This record gives sequence, C-alpha cells and structure tokens, in this order.
Amino acid sequence: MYTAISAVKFFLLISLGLMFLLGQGWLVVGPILQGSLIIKKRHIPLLQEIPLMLMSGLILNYGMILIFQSLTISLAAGGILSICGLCCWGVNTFRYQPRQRLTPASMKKWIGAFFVCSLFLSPIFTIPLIDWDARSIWFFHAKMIYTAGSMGFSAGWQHPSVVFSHADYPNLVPALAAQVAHVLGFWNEYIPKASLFFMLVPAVGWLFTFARRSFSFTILLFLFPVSFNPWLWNGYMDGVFALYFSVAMLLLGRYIKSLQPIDMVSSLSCLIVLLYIKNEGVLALLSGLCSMILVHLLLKNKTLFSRSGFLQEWKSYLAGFLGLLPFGIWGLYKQEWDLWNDLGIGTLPSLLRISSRLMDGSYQIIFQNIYRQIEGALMMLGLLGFAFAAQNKSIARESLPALFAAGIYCLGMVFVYLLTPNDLGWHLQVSIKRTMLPVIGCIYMGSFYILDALENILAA
Amino acid sequence: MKIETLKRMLVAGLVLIIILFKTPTIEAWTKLIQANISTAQHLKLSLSHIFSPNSGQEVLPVQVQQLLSLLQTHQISSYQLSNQLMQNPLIFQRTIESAWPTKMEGKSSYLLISFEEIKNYASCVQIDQREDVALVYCD
Repeated sequence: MYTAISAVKFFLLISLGLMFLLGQGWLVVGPILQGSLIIKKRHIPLLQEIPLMLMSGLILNYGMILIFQSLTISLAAGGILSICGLCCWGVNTFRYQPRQRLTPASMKKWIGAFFVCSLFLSPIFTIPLIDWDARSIWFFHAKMIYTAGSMGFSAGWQHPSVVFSHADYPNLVPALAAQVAHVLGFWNEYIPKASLFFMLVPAVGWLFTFARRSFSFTILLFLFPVSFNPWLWNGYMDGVFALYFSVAMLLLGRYIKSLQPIDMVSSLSCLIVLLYIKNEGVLALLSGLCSMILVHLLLKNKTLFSRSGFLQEWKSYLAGFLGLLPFGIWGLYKQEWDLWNDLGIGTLPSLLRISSRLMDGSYQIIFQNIYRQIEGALMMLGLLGFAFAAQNKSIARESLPALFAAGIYCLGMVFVYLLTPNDLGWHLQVSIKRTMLPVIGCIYMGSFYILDALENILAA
Repeated sequence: MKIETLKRMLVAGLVLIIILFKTPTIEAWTKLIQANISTAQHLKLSLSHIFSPNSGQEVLPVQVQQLLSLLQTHQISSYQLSNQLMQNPLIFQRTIESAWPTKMEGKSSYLLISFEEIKNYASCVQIDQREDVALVYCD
C-alpha cells in the first residue's frame, strides 16, 4: 500500500512539475512562435514546441524566484501563470487540427524520448547526493534557499562559514531543487535531485526531434547524453551544462539547413539557460554567438540570420530581455551582498598569473591535460572528416557551429586555467574531466552532422 | 558487394571501435542499466528513501554523522568546530552543509571536538560524546 502511494506521489511530482514549467513557458513561447497565446498561425511539431516551452518555463520560473525571493510567493505566482498558460496552450493545441499534432511517426519519437528520460529516473532519484561539489556547492545552496524559504539575503549567502561554497555561482538548479523540497515539506539527499530530471527532459525532447532510421542518429543517441554520465545525475552541474551547450549547437546546425525560426529560438534559449547553470555560461554564450558570426561570415549567406521573421518582431526582443533578466538581477544581488568569484577574472593579479604561466611553460600542462580528455572525440571527428574529404565534398555546413563553438570554448577554458589562483596541477586534476565535457559534446555534434552527410552521400 | 556499401561498413566499424575504446560510453551505459536493475529489485526501499525526511545521511562520513547526532540530540542552535576538525576539509564542509541551518558561529560556546582532543578542553564542560567526537561547553 505504502509503495503504491509513494509511486502515485512520485508520478504526481514529475507530471505536475513538468506542467508547472510548461504552462509558464507557453506564455513566452506562444507569442513568439504563433503570434498569439490561443490562435494557431503556424504548424510546429509538438516535439519541437514542448522542449522550448519547458526551457522557457525554467528560465521564467528562475526569474520569478529572483524577483519575489520568497519560495511561497514565487510558487504561487508561478502556479497562477502556469494555469493560465496551460489553458491557452490547450486551446491552441486542441482547437486546431488536433489529430495532426500526434501522428504515428511522431508517436515513435515521443516513446523514444519517454524511454530515454525514464532511464535516468533511477540514478537521479535513487542515488543520494554523495559527490563533493554536489554537496558543498549546488545542493548546499538549494538547502540554504529551502531552509530560509527565500533566495534573498536571509538564505545566508554572506555567512562566513559558507565561503567554501562559492556563493556567487548561479542558482537555477539549486532554486528549483529548493522549490521541490518546499512543495513536499522536507529535505533529504534524494528528492531535491528532481531538479536534475526537470533539466534533462527538454534536452532529450530536442534530441528526438532528430530521430530517424539512420546510423548517424543511432550513434548520436548512443553517445549523447549517456556519455556525460555520471555528471548528469550525481549533482554536479557540468553534465547539464555540457548537455545544453551541445544541444544549442545541434539546433543551430539544423537551423543552417532548415532556416526554421524555432531552431534558432531553441538554440538561443539553450545558450541563455547556460548563464544560470554555471559561471562558464558567459563563456559558452559568447562561444555560441561567435560561432554564429563566424558561420555567417564563412558561408557568406546574408539571409542566414535575417531570414527568420522573428528577428523583426518586438515580441522576440521582449522574450530575449526576459530571458536575460535573471542574469541582471543576480548580478545586482551579488554586488549588493558582496559576493565575488575567486578567479578574479580581469584583475591585475589574474593577468599577471596568465603572463607568468605563459612564460614558464605551464600552458603545455594545460594543453596536455585537455588533449587527454578530448582525444576520443577528436579521433572520431578526424576519421569522419577524412572519410568526408575522400568523397571530394565540401565540409558539412551544419557541423560548423558546433566545431567553432568547441574551439572557442576550449580556448576560453585554457585562459581560465592560465589565470587560476589555485595550484594549476591541483585545479586541472580536480576539474578537467568535467570542464572539457562541453567541448567533447560539441565535437560529437559536429561529428554527427558529418556522419549524417556522409551517410546521405554514400546512400545516393 | 558494392564499393559504397563497403565504405559505409568501414566507416561504421571504425566509428564503433573509437566509441568502444576511446570514449566512456559503454561504461556509462552499463552503470545506467545497473542502476535501473537495482531500482527495479529494490523498488519499495527506493521509494521509501525518496519520500522520507532526512534520508540518505548515511553517505556522510561516520564522524560527521556523530557530530550531527550531538547537535540534534541537544538541539544546539550554533556551534564551533575544533581546530583539528576544521583542518580536515571533508569533515569541515560536510558538517557545515549537513548541519545547516544550524550554523557554525565564532562566538558559540558549544564546541564540537574529536575524542582525542578532550584533554585540550579540560576547562570546558563535556556535555555528551559519541564514539569519535564529543560536544563540550566552553564559557
């Protein structure tokens, strides 16, 4: 009986949590994609729409927590918005040709996405928080927010005993974890990890928008996101971070071919959410934007980024502003509460450390460690690139955003290691396995597009 | 066999070899499947852990569990850690985060010490002890 009740509670937690995010997300996504909350103007597959709604809901929810600070008020306000959003989405979805939204082909993709998500339920919910950063940083922040019932100063960000926990780090996942615990009314080492599952679902949804009966998709599914384990479920943010950086580049690659606005909007939403997962999100966002610019210049296609009608609409810019608002708010709080990052990027000591490490040859250790991590991914890329070149074809354009982003991000991380105030050997040892995950993920995305193009060439 | 088919098989084979030997994918899939099998075998226990308040504290070091027990038994609202305990980053950080919202305060009269340090705190009143740690009150 207890097992049955617990199973029902578990199902309700997952489904109501997802609906809470979906409803809020529609209030942003509906006006951008459909120009209206209730009137359908474009046919967009549900499997593309729902991950974007979830992602928008995650960002909007985080913004609400930062603005209201109180978990109770933010949940109440979010709940009201969510109900409104779900009603509008229901009208939009089921009023207009509902049978076209769920075709047999799309049902298989839905089943696949559901299966992959359910594979992660076990490690996320049944393995307690054990690992260092998970306990000392991310879910400690969640506990601070939960016990205070607030994201504000009362959470204890300035308390002298929490200096080790890097209180300046962004808190989207910790805030979500605190909300879950707040709703259930208790804390333990399992249930706050529900936040990791809510973060995973949109990425898996987007992955399955690429589903087709091909070797390339099979390899993509086999490699991604499983190869980010255990970082996706152990409470570290690195897995989730790498996941969304990779998905952003995957969607951008498809945009280059399809020129569908939803791919660009989805890619941008993935890049924006990175700002709220880790501080490296700034580097990732810049890498993504730089890769867009480089692709635009390289392909010399003037319509590549202007073709999408959404760039001419004020609602898109409003949504972009709303998406970036949490970044601004957290920045203000950090200034007000005197929370600073220990790396000291841009300060004179950090520049001196870069100079010193360049002169004493320490940079070689950095490159050696990086190569050891990305060797396998580079090998695959090299093999596929060689096989592609042997066909006398020009490079698969869709792979370029991911490969450019991987290179720029990797260079950015080289600079971070050059300026670290910690012992370089120690810092590399404890972090390089995690910090190179975004680079590896993007190389896999680039390899997927090359393999996909190769498959099409050889099949023709 | 057509040359294109041979090429496809060669590329596919090499990609699979790289995945097998140069990426952690196989190991990751194995761990994922093992976690799912374990949950299926102990479903009742897993669900009870998920919905039980304060469950999962057994992952903490034994010393930290003992420290928490002292704080909870005597309903201490703030505490200090001895120098020896503070020198150990694992014990220090795990105590701070697992005891939260009970906070470490420099002015607290309640001190958590390791058992070997008791003689260093002879002037303090020993309130309670566990196997490896003790709670003392220092005026």
